[in-house]
Amino acid sequence: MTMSDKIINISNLFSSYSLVTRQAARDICELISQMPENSIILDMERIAYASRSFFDELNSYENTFILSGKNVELINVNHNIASLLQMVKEKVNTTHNVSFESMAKASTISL
Amino acid sequence: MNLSCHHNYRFFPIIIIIMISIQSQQDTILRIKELLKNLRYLDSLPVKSSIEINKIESYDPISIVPVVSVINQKELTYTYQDKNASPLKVKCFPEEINDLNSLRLLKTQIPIIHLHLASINNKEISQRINILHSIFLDLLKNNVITDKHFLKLVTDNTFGFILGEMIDNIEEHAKARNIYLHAQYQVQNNSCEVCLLDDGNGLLGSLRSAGREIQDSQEALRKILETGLSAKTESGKIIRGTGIKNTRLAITNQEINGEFLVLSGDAAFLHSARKGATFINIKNYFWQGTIVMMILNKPKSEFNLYDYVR
Repeated sequence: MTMSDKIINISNLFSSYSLVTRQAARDICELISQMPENSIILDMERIAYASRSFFDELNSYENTFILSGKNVELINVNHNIASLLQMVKEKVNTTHNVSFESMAKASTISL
Repeated sequence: MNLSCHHNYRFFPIIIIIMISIQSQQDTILRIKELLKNLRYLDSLPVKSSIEINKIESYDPISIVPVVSVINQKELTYTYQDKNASPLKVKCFPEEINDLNSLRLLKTQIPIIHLHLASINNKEISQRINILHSIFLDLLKNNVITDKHFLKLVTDNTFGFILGEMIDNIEEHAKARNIYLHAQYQVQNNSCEVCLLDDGNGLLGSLRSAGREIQDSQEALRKILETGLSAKTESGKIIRGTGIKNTRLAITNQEINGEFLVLSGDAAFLHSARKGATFINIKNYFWQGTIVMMILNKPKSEFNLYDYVR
């Protein structure tokens, strides 16, 4: 972290300890794009939970940041969020080989 | 007595007395059967009717929340025949949620929370949903689940995940005007039940809006469960959705031993870890939107969510 880094406290930005929505990621990326600084730090202190969709959306802007010369870093990420972030990145890096199961064994009733 | 956050009382000359009962049931199929009976009754009523609620033996979320949402939506007024029954109070978000301290007075349950989404833009919807999720998790952890060992074993990450996946689906696909959310911890069963519903497009409507050719609610549900069919596209390609799958896996494994229900349109799917999976064809009723119920039971050892979700 240097003096020229711009730090955004995410919990304060949204007045929330949760980041569930894709729109939240879009709002952050819009804010980043408007900043003159090239090095942005997203401080996740007090963020207790973040969803897959949020990180999936945030990741989708990675190339945009690279092309615009911006470096975006996350800090103070708790263990649970770090695990989820890893899961999202692994899905991005592999083909979508999530398996689904047949429901043939499920019974059917009418109510 | 009414439940609406925006109710304006008007004298309505026709009063219809309908008896609604909500009985204490262990079996989820029986609870759904009773719920559908009550919803059919309510569906037949004109707007602003008066109803009489005969008996409420149990306030479990799946039995209560859809009934409350329809009462609200149709601006029905109601009385209780059983004077000992507690009123079905609804807290409007965010207007009535700011004072968390008053909510903390309730142990073992989060009151029914109503989030009204019409007439607000996407950013505001997103803001409210994030805060709602945050508050809901806070109340679950610090108030509702009085067995702290339960929470330690299930982990608040699990609750955050399943709630986040389902709420995210509403925000992304439903185009709902209203969301209702309610949770209750059953001390005697060591289980926590959460019910979340919306009045949006429903699974069928969301898929059709995205151009998927789906015949009916039953097909929509099956394809979502069996193939991950989703309304999502990326770079022009249909991508598979994993929210419902992962939520179901997180709940219905042999550790959590829970139950997962999704009801949309005239179809429902119930997966119980103990009893298996059941598709339900609903006769003579159509829920516009989606209802989700999640029951989590206390596991024997600490649960790792990432053993099950991908």
